[in-house]
Amino acid sequence: MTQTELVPATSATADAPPVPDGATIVLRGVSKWYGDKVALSDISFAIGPGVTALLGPNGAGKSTTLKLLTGQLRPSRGVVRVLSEPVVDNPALYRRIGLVPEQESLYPQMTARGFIEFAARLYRLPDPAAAAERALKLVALLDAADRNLGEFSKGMRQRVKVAQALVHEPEVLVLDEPLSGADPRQRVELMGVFDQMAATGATVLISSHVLSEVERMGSNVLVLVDGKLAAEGDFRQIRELMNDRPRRLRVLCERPRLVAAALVQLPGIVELRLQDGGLEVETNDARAFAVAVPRLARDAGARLTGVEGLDEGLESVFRYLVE
Amino acid sequence: MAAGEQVRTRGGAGGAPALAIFQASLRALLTGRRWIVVAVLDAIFVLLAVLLATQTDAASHQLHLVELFHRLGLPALLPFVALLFSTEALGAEVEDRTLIYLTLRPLSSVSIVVAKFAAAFVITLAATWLPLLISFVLLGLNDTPAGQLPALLLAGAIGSAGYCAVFLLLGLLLRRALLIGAIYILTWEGAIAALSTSAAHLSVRFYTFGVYAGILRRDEFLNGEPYPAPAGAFIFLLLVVLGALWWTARRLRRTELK
Repeated sequence: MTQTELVPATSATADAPPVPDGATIVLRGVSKWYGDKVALSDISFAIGPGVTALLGPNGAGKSTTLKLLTGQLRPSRGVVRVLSEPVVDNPALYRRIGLVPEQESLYPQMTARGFIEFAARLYRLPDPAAAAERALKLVALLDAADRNLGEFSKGMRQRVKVAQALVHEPEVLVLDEPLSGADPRQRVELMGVFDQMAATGATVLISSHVLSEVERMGSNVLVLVDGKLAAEGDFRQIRELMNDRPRRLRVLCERPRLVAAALVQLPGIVELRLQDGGLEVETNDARAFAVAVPRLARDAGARLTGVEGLDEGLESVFRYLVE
Repeated sequence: MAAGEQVRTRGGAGGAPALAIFQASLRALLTGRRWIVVAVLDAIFVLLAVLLATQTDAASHQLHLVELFHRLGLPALLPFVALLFSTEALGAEVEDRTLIYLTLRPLSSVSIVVAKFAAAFVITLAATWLPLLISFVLLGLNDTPAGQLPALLLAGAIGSAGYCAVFLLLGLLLRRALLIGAIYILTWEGAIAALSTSAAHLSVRFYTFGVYAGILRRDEFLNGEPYPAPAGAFIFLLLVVLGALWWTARRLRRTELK
């Protein structure tokens, strides 16, 4: 990431910052629309080697952005450059780019090994069999390498998609929701692979709508909301903003009136509402609330059965950031 | 290995990506239910050849072979077999969204299209030459002078190539390519072009028949049926193939994968 602080995104093309040295992916004033529908509106950013997460709720324009920078779509306006080259009508560039697409479909009649070897042959690698073996090993699929892709689970298909994207060891790796369908262990392993790629100097751009995934991947983020770049910068600052914002929580407990009377003394409490089986709270200091509530419930002689967030959805987080 | 180091390597043992696409497409086309329809078409053609060989006078076998090719081979066997394989060759990948695994590789769209066309053509050729060869064995062995076999095989090949190229394009352009292709074969080539010579000039069948008749050189079998000059017909079909492949490659390059 070329900008380390969380900043509102630049919008107008003319206002786009100059492309920093070392930027491998550059979008300047890029818009994409389908008829009357605007999918992306005047987006500019530049990123360099390392892991960058593209965040946003469903429908925010993440997949459109990734498709634009891999040449699957042509921008309606603006410029897209990857590794200093134009993407559209430039198939030679694919020698240096790997993509894990959004769609799950694969060739069902091929084995995993056959599919990755096929990809290696299309990249003109000197030893496709060895390259496929290496890629399948990286995604821990060697045991299932000779099974037909039609028999694979969603998580296994995700790993095959990752293997085909990195079989040629690309300089830029673009991944659209790569952890979707993978179990927790597979997620950890795949994230290790992405980190490994980034450590060799590759640019890894990963889209996700799951905040906790992104948190573990790296600190650089781009945030898209409603087709606009809402923020870019360091993920930790987003986390801090999230912790600072008012939060709505549901407290499940016995004797809610007594608990409410105790809670109202806490700093940061904005609103308290009694409900069946507990109460709903809005607080400006969620951290202090989380620490205090078990103690206050115990002091009130009420059994606390749970505390749950009511606005943890990524969409609400992003909308808060935009506002 | 540093990122990007390996990808600059070109050629080598794993080269020829177009060959890889050709082989993979061939394997994909060799499976599936379309073979049932192809087998039925082949069987009907061979069955009619058997009936003609056993139920008619040997002296009329040559004429029957011409009729069989003209009335069934050209209007049904060739176009429908080509339609079944060619629309599938690219259309299946458009339909199931796996086209991305070809278009996002360092390949020109021309090499992808040529490899796909070659796979569809080879399979169409195998599925049409077999019944043509059997019909020749049953009806054409007493051919004098021996023009039937080269006429059948060459016309079968150039006709298949023309249909394959056109239907490959259709498979990329249209979601219901199989249906639209069948409507084209039945209504345009089967009805309109059969009734109007000027309309026939815009049909693959007319020029394929020209190649066949030109090689056969037995006008006494053709009942005054009009056909174009063989050399012109051959060149026209070649242009159809090249034009359709160029258009398919151009369209593939400009296709947005939404």
